[in-house]
Amino acid sequence: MHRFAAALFGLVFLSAVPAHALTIDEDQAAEPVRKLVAGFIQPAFQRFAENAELAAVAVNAICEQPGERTLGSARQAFADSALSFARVEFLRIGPLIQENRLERLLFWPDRRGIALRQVQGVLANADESVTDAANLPAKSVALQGFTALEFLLFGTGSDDMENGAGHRCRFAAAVAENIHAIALELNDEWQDEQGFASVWTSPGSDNATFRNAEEVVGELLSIPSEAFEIIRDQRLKPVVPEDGKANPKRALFWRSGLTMDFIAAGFEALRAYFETAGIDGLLPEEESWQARSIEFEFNNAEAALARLNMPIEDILADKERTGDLTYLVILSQSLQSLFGQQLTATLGLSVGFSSLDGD
Amino acid sequence: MRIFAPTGLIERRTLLKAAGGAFLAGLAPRAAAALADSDAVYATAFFDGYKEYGIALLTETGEIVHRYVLPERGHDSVFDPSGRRLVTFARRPGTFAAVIDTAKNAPPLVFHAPEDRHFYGHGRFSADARLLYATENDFDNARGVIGVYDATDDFRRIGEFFSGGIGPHDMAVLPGGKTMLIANGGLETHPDYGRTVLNVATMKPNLALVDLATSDVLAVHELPQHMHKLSIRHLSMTADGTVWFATQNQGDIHEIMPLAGSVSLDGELRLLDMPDEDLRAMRGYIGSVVANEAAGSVVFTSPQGNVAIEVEQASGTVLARHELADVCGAAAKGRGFFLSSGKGMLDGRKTRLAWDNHIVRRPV
Repeated sequence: MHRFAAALFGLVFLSAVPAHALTIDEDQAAEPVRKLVAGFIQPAFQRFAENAELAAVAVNAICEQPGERTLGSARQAFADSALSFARVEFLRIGPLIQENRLERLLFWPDRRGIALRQVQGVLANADESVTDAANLPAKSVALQGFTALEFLLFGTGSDDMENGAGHRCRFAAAVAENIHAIALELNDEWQDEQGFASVWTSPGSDNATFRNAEEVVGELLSIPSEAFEIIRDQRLKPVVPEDGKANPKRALFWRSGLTMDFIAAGFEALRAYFETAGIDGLLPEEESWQARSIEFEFNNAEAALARLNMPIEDILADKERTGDLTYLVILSQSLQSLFGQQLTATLGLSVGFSSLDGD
Repeated sequence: MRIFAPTGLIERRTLLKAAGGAFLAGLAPRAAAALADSDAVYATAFFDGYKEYGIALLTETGEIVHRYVLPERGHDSVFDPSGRRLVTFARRPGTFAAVIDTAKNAPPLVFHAPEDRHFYGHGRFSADARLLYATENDFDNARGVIGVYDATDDFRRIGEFFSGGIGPHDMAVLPGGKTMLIANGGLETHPDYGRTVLNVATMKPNLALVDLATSDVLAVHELPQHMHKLSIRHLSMTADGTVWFATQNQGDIHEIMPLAGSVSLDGELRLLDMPDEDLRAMRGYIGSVVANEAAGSVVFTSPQGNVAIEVEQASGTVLARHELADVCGAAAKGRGFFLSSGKGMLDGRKTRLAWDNHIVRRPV
């Protein structure tokens, strides 16, 4: 059985922090991943597939019976589907990063407004090819996922679908079906007993992806670290005003008013990730305070998010709430560092100076 | 959101003060005497583990001849063809470059990218040493440019040209000095979104050949479509003008892909057929590539994979594998390589500094 013992070097080796040599065998390393897959990842992808299906049905219903009721239901189903996606979108390993699935589901950040331009272009030309979900995978990723569907259901002109559904509705139904199809693929691959979950939990010399315990745990900890960086750099910082200029339209899902719900769902899911895996159990007794630091920051984030439970434009119109948003930036930075540096260093997995955030 | 210091002047003053202090404090008498001679063979950026970033000049055996403070993290450096001046660039998305005149007892001269550009961390001198080229991001237009600086006039920026793609990183001035090969990594980034890659699904890295007199893009080499997420980043040229290139996989790093290759002077692109086990060991990431003329070899370092792999240029055969945690910096030394790591290793010795990604060797 392969064992690894790693001391603490790198940036921290110069400081007063003692080096902890930790020994975990492959089975011990795979245990938190097994718990995570069964207790969090698989149910979360299943839920996403179910909600994506409901959204596809609900959007299709507008086309069949245009009206306020069906449009309202479809918008609600979009929100449920998007928020269940928020709970898995940071699992950027295996199935989600293959075949451009992530970008097809969520083309974001979209600094130059490509999705809006392309969706409006398709609407203006009444391009029929986009009304068949089977055609979408070959089209631009900007036409395939949640940001396109959000514009179709909430953007300028969407209210007209109450009075009569035409090309726009059929396009929206195809996008919702495409999201459902991708969600099904993701769910199938995560439930597959021979799939990525099995690869991640059976390290060894014959495993081409995870050779040893260190690589298994390294992946487990790099996911939340990267997730908090994404929340900070892509979701929060572009919206936090600089020089007093607020720009709520730079927020993800501002049209549907889901900006903060999406972020809150992400934090909540990351907490579930941490707790379900039992990452605290990997820490030596004298370092268990690090798990409490993480819980503490999660609590702080929850409290801040509770105060921020409103449309992003309302937050940005209020100085105190904007302050909470800035505080959330700091918390996401802190959580990133706790997972990506402190915890990994304690476990002897410290990402090196040269490999960190590569160049 | 802006990433620049308000005027550039404050940053420069702070740097001069800091650099001056370190200059005096760090200069042992023997080192002072050695400074003007040819003891300094290598240059590489470092982090001291607490707060200070810098650039160090090293002897052939890795002794520190001198170290200078940098305002932020540095990346690659380049010596002018005479070996007298050294220019170190900020790591992306940094905006400063520091010039060290190794013949003078003076703090570095600092210059900056313009407000709407940032450096990618690499630069090259023209063959006649009069111009300095730097890879830069025209981020508002998602366009790579090569900034042109007058090395005879305090590195005043005198122009720029299109790099032939997005996200230019390393480059090489080809023999004859009339053309340049540029590694356009293909990654669209914008300071508003940190280091987030904005175009993973559509990224299209290339190697662009540019005429330095006319700025025309003469040729563009692309990898096959299924390899479009391999960001071509680093280059190393041999005397016959063959340019070795190394990539970083922005897609699924567990998918085995060729990570390196070469382009000959007549434009033939070859992918290096390395054993799967070596490709896997590098975890989709090569941090630096350096050719060794004397040995006819080339080394690829992978800090993600904690390994440096030496390959014979002619046959592509793997000659040696060096396991070293967080290895990235490499330079030719004799018939082998001088390697450094972010964990303090320098040519086989443990030091108290974290060594950054690249080492440059001073021209003889």
